[in-house]
Amino acid sequence: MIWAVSKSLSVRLNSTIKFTIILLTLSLAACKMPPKPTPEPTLVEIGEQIFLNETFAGNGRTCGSCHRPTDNFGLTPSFIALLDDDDTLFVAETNPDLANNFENPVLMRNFALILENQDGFGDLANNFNMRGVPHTLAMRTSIDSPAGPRTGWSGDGAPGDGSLRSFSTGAVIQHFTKSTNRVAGVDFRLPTDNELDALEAFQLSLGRQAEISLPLPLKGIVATRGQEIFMDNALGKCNACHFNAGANGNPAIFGPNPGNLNFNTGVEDLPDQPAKLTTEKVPPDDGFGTPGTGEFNTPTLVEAADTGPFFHNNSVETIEGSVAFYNGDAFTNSPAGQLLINATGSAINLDATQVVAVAAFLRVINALENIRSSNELLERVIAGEDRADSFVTPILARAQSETRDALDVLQGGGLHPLAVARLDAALKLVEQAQSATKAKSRSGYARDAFAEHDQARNDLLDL
Amino acid sequence: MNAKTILGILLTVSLCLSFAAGQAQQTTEKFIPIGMSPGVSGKSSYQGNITEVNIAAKSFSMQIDGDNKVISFAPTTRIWLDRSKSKKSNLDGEPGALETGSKVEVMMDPEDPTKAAWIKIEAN
Repeated sequence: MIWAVSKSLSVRLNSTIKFTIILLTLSLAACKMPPKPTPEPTLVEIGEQIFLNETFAGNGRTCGSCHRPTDNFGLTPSFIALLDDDDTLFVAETNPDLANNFENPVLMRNFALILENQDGFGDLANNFNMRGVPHTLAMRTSIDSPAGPRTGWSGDGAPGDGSLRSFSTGAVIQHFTKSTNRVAGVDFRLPTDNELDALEAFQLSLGRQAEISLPLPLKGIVATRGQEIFMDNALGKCNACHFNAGANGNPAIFGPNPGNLNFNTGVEDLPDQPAKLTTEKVPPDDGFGTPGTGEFNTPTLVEAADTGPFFHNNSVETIEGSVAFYNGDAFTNSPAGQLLINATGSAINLDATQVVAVAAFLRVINALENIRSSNELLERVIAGEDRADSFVTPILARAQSETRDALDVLQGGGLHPLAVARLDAALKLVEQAQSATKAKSRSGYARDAFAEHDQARNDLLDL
Repeated sequence: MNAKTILGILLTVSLCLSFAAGQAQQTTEKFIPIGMSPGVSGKSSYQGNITEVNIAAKSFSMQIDGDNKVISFAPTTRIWLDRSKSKKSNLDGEPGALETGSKVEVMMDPEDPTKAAWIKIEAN
């Protein structure tokens, strides 16, 4: 009987405890936790919103219309091919006031070339240049020089004080206008001081914030040989103008703090340039200044392998081709080529295997940068776990494109198959993060992708 | 690479740099109204009204904060007619467009501070 009473009491207690637990759970669920305050946007975040969304009362374009976040903040023909016909990039095809002398749709769609009036707006039908869209990565390392900031392909891209900050004003006038009259207050509005500050902050935040230091302890034997050739002043001679595979001159050659330099490397003299094989008008581009000196800005090489086509006119498609350019007559006979011969005693004369080795080096350091960049973006996703989808989604899209670029760049050179496999795994994890419906799951996938990236990096570098 | 070679390169590059110093892109500057040039207006340019013009001497005087300043220009000086207030496209101008009383903005040439790099003249 005591046992029966104890059992009955035990059953009642269990039921009471269960009921209490259920009641408590329901009570807690009913409590409304105050929402976490959305943090104030930083200057960089404000700049990003302006860059991607602000049309400056113009033709509908934004900075992001040409500098696409998931195309390395540049623009390639393959990216253009996937755009809808009503994309703001194609305003020259949809706005009758811009049908003439604003863009060349054939050259844009086929070669990602944009029309620039570098030498003035007096004769729009004949006085223009066709240039590729340069990426806006690593500018903190690449635009300063003792002669002032060098922006754009010819190093003179900005009005006003010539700074990166002022560059956006010139871009609005050239590319955002509703008509070729370009009347401020009618065809566009000029950016305000605050907007210029924010745009500059955002652009400087993109990509590498510091130079790498060569030589790197690479694991791949071909890339390692390529690095040796790159740094050899008697062989590749690349490190003279692209110090540490960046955009600046080598201090040992050009003196202390040479910064970014302009050179006439003879790209304009290349035969059979793709755009010129068409029947479209492609006037010669005389580079820096008006009239031009024939010089163009030195770009970074860490970012090169996944941001082709190459040179100011997108005339060379592959990284191997861009290395081979320096073997050819166009470069050898150019002022920069002659300078190099006078200084070193010989032209650059790499054989096929050496060209491929240098290109392999450039592919590997680009993949390393893509991994670094993707991890940086994934860290932001993890840190911003409780932020809205509108914050996280574009960051994951960029991380996805960086990881894919690393994979493509290595695979395209037949390099590091194990790292390629790891990057493929990382890519799948990033894509799972993009599909995740819960923030914690998303962060989990991001962490796993981060780890795969680290493994891939370990395959490339002898740490 | 020996010292003589390095010196040769340095001399060549320094020549390039001297021509390149301070050159912003002046082509889109044409469409920036008086007083709105980024990093220039209110900082390094002069804004005021023309008080006297001497085409033969390639100079004009302008009032700046109560002071009279003489501005020289050269064949390389860009002259633009700022018609933005009339909602018309800005035009390339000639020295003949400089008139007493006209509102102007002047940016001096950093390479030659005695000469104007560009002059914007308010016009209809």
